[in-house]
Amino acid sequence: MNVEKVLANGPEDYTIVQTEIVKFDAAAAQVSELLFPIGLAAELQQPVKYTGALPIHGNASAKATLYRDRFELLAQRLSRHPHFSKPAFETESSNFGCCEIVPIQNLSWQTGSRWIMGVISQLEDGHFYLEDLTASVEIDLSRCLRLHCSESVCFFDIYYKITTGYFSENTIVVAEGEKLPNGLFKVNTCGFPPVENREESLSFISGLDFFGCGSFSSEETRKLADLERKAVNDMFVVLSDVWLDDDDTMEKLKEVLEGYESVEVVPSLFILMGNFCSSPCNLSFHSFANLRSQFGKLGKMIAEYPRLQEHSRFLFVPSPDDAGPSSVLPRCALPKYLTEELQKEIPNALFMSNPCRIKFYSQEIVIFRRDLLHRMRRSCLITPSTAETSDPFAHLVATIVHQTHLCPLPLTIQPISWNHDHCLSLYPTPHTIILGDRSEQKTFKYGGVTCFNPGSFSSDHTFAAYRPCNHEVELSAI
Amino acid sequence: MMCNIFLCILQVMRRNLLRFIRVREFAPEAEFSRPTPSFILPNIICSYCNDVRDLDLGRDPSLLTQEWRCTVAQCGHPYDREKMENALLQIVRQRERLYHLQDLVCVKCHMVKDSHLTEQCKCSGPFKCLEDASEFYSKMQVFYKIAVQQNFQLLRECISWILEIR
Repeated sequence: MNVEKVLANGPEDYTIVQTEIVKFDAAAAQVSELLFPIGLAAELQQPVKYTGALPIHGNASAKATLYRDRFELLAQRLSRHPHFSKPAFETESSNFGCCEIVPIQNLSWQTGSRWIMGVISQLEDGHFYLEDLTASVEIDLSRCLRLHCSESVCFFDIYYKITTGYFSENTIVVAEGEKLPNGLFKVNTCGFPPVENREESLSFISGLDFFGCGSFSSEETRKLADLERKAVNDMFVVLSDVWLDDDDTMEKLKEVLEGYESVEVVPSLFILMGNFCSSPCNLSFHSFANLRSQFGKLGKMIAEYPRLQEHSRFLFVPSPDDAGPSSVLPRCALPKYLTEELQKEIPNALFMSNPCRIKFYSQEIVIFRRDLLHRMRRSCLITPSTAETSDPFAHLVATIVHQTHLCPLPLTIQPISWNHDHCLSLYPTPHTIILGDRSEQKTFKYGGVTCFNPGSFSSDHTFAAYRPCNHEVELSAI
Repeated sequence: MMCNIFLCILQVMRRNLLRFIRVREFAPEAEFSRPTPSFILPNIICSYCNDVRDLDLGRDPSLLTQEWRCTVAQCGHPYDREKMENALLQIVRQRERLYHLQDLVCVKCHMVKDSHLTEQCKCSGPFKCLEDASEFYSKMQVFYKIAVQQNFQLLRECISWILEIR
């Protein structure tokens, strides 16, 4: 594969999100003016471009902007949805079945059933509120209808229905109900904002680059999509939880590499995700020199396979528990101190941030390593609805796709750099999301996104092979 | 008016105290110089003699310049460098995490911010961080200095990223 790598966003070591572009045609749009973040202005209008990097440590207003931008993105998306948009012409029939979202502060003087949208916040201990740009209103989460088959008696006036997904604190929900005289908002239906088709999002943002790799004209996109479909030989092998200090893991890894060395066409990309050590970076683990030499050993192991060394690329995505400056997301690449020896053996190895993004011709792939499933299940406030699915991974994918955010957990559980929340944004919805999680390997297609988890290589010896040309995921084990 | 009286009393007291230690009031030695920020690394255990002590890495001159050794007279064994580096790295990681978890307080009424999306307090005052970025950076500088002096490469790299030093 003839590729030209363009690493965007300034000096390699210090970019928080490194975007790599795999471009076939070198004459395609240059990415010189690569904007680091694109935020949304307060008035729901034009996106604001920032040039240059934002500081890692934001000021007080950045924290509010983090929540507001997330909310406004979803509010804008919702306003384009036919079900929730206000009809242009006021006629008899249009008022019937229109679910226009009202600002929460309007509830204080409006009566009757209304639709609101807000962030679930625990403003007081044990009391949950829906908060939007204008005000907040208390809601009662305990009365929720869980659609189990065993429940034969349901009181429809005090229970309400929810959609698929994990409703945790910090997620943005759309709720229909009525404000009671005691100030509580009685919810009848509650759900995540509907997903927007990728093509619709693209037509709205008309050429602005939200992914981070430069914008292409429609002609170029068509050419790239064509080339992508023809690239049948390209394959990505994804492994997560590769413990370099565990002999068993290294042996299994050797088997995997041997297996791929002997195939007719070697995989184009190996994605190795953290944790790279069996113990996370905490007070009890201190043998960094050891870890450094283990990376060196890995480099030597890869170098034993000449075909892989020559024709494949190796990408390393650290987990927040790997050695590094912090566990705050987005997390920077592995420190050079650890990877120097490996870099000597494999000079073109790539060390990326977490999360990171890859553009394969016209396909947008987001890679994220975090044990999300476990955390989401624990911080979930309402038992997920089993009406459509009872697969926890499916619920997780539904949650992140509806929320257009990789990690919609409360900041106390997963801190996020206030100025860099957009790095975890999934707008417009990418084609593929690779979620490294220590739970069992799974794949799930939802709302146009192919999402898969290769599983933990060290615990379960599972990994995944992905063919970008037809979005095919092969879950494998060794 | 009251402030002036206090200032005069303080001046007189300062003059008298300096006279006790035989320093002239306006001599250069009498000028106040801000001390370097202190940082105490608690519970360092010597692997040789099991002595436990706290080390003031910010202010102790012997620690700033030389290799760290156990200060028990008969021991003098150097401390395990990897453990020390890791102890410092964990503190750095913890502080970095805490920066992003800190509360915001109103500038006017000093109440802690409870809601997420509001940009102003109910009293219409703006919010500020409890520990703002410049304070955070100056505390990190202490660690950076230690990392450079003691040649802790990994620690130095991590702090350089936090302080955005290129």
